[in-house]
Amino acid sequence: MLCLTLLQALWLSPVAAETELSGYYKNIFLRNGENLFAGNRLRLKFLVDFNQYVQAEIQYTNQLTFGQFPKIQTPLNTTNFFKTDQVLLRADGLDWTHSFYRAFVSFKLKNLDIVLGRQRIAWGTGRFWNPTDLLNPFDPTNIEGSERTGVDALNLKLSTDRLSYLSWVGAPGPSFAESSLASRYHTTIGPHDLSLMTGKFKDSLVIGGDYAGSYQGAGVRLEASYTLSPLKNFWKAVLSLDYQFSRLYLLGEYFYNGQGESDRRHYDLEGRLAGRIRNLGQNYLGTTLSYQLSPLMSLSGLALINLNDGSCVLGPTLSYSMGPNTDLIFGLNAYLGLPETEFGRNSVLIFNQMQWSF
Amino acid sequence: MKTLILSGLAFVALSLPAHALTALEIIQKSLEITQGDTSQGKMEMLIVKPKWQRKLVMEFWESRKGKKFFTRIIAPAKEKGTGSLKIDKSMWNYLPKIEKVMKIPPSLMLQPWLGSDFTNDDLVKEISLENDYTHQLLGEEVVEGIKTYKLELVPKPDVPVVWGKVHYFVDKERFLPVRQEYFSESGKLVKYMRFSEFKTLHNRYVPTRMEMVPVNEKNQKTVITYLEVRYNAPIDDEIFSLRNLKNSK
Repeated sequence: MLCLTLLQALWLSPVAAETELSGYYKNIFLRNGENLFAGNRLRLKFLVDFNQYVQAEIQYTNQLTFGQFPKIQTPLNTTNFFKTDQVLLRADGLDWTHSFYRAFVSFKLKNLDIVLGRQRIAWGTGRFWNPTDLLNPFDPTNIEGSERTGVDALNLKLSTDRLSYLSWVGAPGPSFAESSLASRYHTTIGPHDLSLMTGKFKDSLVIGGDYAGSYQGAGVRLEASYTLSPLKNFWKAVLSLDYQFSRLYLLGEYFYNGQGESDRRHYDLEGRLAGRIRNLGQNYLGTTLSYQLSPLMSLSGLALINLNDGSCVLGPTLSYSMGPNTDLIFGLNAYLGLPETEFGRNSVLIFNQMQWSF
Repeated sequence: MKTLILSGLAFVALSLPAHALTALEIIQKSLEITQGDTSQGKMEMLIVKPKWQRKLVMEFWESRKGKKFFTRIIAPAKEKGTGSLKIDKSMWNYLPKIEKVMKIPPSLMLQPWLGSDFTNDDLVKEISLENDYTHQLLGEEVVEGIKTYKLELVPKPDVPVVWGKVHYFVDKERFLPVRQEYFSESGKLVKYMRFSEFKTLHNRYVPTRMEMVPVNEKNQKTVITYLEVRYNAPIDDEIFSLRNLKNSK
């Protein structure tokens, strides 16, 4: 029945579909310890509106880099079904690659949205950590905060009213054990946003939820999950608050990570390097402070602290809007702590980025 | 017969002497003309600073009585697709860069919007001139060569407004806004908004240009120009939904 409805939606496509092309060019330089890295990325975003029911989006990346990209900046392993990246040339530290960052088709049927393909499914309300974002988690220490991995999935979203929806996601992996099946319900009651989720994520069963609201003008967010996995059952929870004081923005977040270890001697370093887990410790504190120096220039600082081993990442950045579509960012990630701690084992990372959008 | 009685009542209502109007009624009349029950269209925002200028173009939909507002930026490319949805006192932003909807805390509502002289609140009109202020008619004054009613609006207790008071000048004849002055809690004039370029848009004679000028910042202002507006046209409730907010196109 569903297939028939989808075919009907495609059948209604006019011959001349509406298309739109946008994207950006980015240039990035970084130094991490002795390593130097330079990269150029062209991202092209094609949107095709076949008709009011069917739309397709493809985001294609062509990237030329020189040098070794720091391992600590490597995205988490999302074990996608399709391999969408390809090396065009690799020689003497030069890498020329291309890939599909996003590639999906979406169908709008009354109050049901069906999205099939490489997409981002952003669950959770935490700013640094999202215990319920298990399909395409991101790393808050990533110097490219808006580069977020996608997931190959079939996503069905049923809107039950303007502010509520139920979604089902199937994300196949190379095998059933590496596949995920999950559902989430989101609703708004008065000034409160609430979500509940459950599912099988690879070899684990997870149940969780999140909340977003406010108190005395401050944003208040909660997010928690409980995981049943073959190795261990654990909780993850986040409490997040933010407030804007005139030109100064402050965000604070506490993260309890039951998957991690309180004793640094038991850290799963292999899992971190392989991209299976992100956080080694159990208790974390994250803060962001952002100050608007002028309408075109802002200074922000990030601090992520592992409360168990005392190590931390400090990440100040200076952003300047050079033109209506051009941004320049200078920043660094300073990793502080003893050599055997989570963050202390990394070298300082200094970077600058320039992005032109079109 | 019923129509005749209603028409008669409407005639009597319109024929009432203007001085009988209260400050609140003047504001309601003015808002009814400039905003209607619903409005939708396209506007351009020009941010003028001493050494640079920036332009934004956005589409908007508003249901004044339903307390709902939706806007989406369509230019420049860097901001394209950024959307804001406000329903009653709740507001969400969609950020296409990270493909995520975020709830906006009230403290962020009074911050400058994308470097302009307008706050988030000015844009989404969370604070209602009609409902969140007490109103007083101070008298009459000639502003920009137009005879106006001078109204004083003082925020009600517990309403999160940075202004101590607002002076609102309304054209006596047409009930169109001419100027708004924003005062700090200590009574100093901080910024003013000038309404101009009165034109007929969708069968309504309205101001199509609004200039927000900060008093203490030289050569600085933000100008909003309405490019298209449709008043009292039905708006599909689907516009004011999280589903639509996520649609970045």
